[in-house]
Amino acid sequence: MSHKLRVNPIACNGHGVCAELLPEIIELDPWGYPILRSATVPPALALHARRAVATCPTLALMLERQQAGARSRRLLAVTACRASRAGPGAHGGGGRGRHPRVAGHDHGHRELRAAEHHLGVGGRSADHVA
Amino acid sequence: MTVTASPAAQEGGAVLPRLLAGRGHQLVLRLAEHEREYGTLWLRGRSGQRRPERLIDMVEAAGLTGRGGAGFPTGRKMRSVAGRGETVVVANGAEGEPASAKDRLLLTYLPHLVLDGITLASDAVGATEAHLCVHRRERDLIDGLAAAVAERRSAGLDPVPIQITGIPGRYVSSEQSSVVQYLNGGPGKPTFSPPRPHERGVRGRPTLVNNVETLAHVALIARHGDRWFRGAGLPSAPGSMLVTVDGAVQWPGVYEIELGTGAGEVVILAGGPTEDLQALLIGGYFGAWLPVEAAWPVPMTQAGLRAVGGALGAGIVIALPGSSCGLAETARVMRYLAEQGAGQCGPCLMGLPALAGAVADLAFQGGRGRGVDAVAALLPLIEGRGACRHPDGASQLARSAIRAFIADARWHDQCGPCDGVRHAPLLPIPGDEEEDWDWT
Repeated sequence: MSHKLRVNPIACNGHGVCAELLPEIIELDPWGYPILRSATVPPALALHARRAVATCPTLALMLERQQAGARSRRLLAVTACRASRAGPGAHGGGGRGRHPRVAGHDHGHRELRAAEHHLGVGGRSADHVA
Repeated sequence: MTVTASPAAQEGGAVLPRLLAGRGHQLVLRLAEHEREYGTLWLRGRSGQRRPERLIDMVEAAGLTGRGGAGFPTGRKMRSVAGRGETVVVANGAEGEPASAKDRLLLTYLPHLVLDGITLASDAVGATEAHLCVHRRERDLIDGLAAAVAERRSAGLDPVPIQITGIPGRYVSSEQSSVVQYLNGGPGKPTFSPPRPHERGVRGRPTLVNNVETLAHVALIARHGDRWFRGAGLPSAPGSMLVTVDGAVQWPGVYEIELGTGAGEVVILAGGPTEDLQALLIGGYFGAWLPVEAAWPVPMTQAGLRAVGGALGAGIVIALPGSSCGLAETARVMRYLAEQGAGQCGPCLMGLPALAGAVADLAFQGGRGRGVDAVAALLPLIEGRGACRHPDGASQLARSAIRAFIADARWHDQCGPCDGVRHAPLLPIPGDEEEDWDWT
């Protein structure tokens, strides 16, 4: 299982936050819109990718779980966003992260799974951004 | 994929025209004349048994692919929608390509062939709702279609009522997700996918969106069967298709050809060139320029054109005479395409005007040695970065122009514009007065 980044180009307004938080994968074109060097996120960068997703002001950056061989896609953007909205206090002892808004990511995994389960199948991107 | 084989049936197998068989004796084909020409439509089998899904098997076996440009297998598309509760069928007759005339020809003169196809497809996928979308500025066309629909209603030929909808005239508004968005009350702009229309389309229901020519082929497959359909074209790309031929040919117009016919034969079919040709534009404004020697033997199939870096698109062939400047022609079209975006995605919104500007500089100013590189540098910044294929199609056209006219491009780059830029524009570009560009 790996994670894949996607940009919704309609929602993206070129704030460029993602390129600041994930320069290993995302660079900006001359007009300030993100270019993904590779869609697949190496495990070492998964946390940073999630942080970039959660911080995007227009929720245009999405992280999808790719299961080998399976066609099902699950959207992690919403869940990552929820994790961030919960804020440092919600998890008790958060605030150690590099970015204050997404502190508490160490608890993120369980929460992500629960939220994913709650979401059911993927393919809800249009609802969530449009 | 074989590129050299000419269609087996070219040596006297299949009888063409098929779709256009009813064209010729009179103008608009009324229902009675239509049934006399093409045969009666049996919605129930002769035994009276209803097995609507059998049509999907037939379309799949026939190997029909979408004729709107993308070339997706129609049977597979129908199967992905069928049996998923209350579904919707959308016939897309909003011909976005300014150079294409085939859909308008079908809808104007042979409306019942398309309407048959809509009825059959609705029946096959269990649709409770069917829409036929055309450009809203074409009032005459809409009136004619309304009359044809009324005629069928009185004949009891519409188990699912067909609604005619006029959609905005922009290039991107005829993209399938735009059409669905417009039917859902939106402005008619492409949407981010997935979900694609077959998953969630009109009013959230699984929606089959097909080009009107595709549906006309369905109407013939239902009558004659899949083996008959495969009697024309190549085994890998069966059937016939409509092409619009324009430019420096004797008789510009819409022709029906077998898939796999060489591009040169299409030019000959239209009476041959009126002067020396330098290139063919195949596939329309999302297609590609090919130098005439390279283009002549290329078979008109998706695979054949992809192999030479082109696209079949909606079947457009435009012959560019040697006296024209291909770069100037491309520059005009690029500016049009840049204006025709939905303005939603940054790379398209910013990139296409930049690319159009770079091509225009090269064509009309000369590039001072940097023009070709300036165009080439912009292409990777645009391709594959929009929600729809608009930026991809436009950059493919620019890329093919640089490749096909490389000698001319180097000349422009070093020495300034060639004499051809003063030639009258060849490629049709709708003016503001005929276009209906508002989103409201």
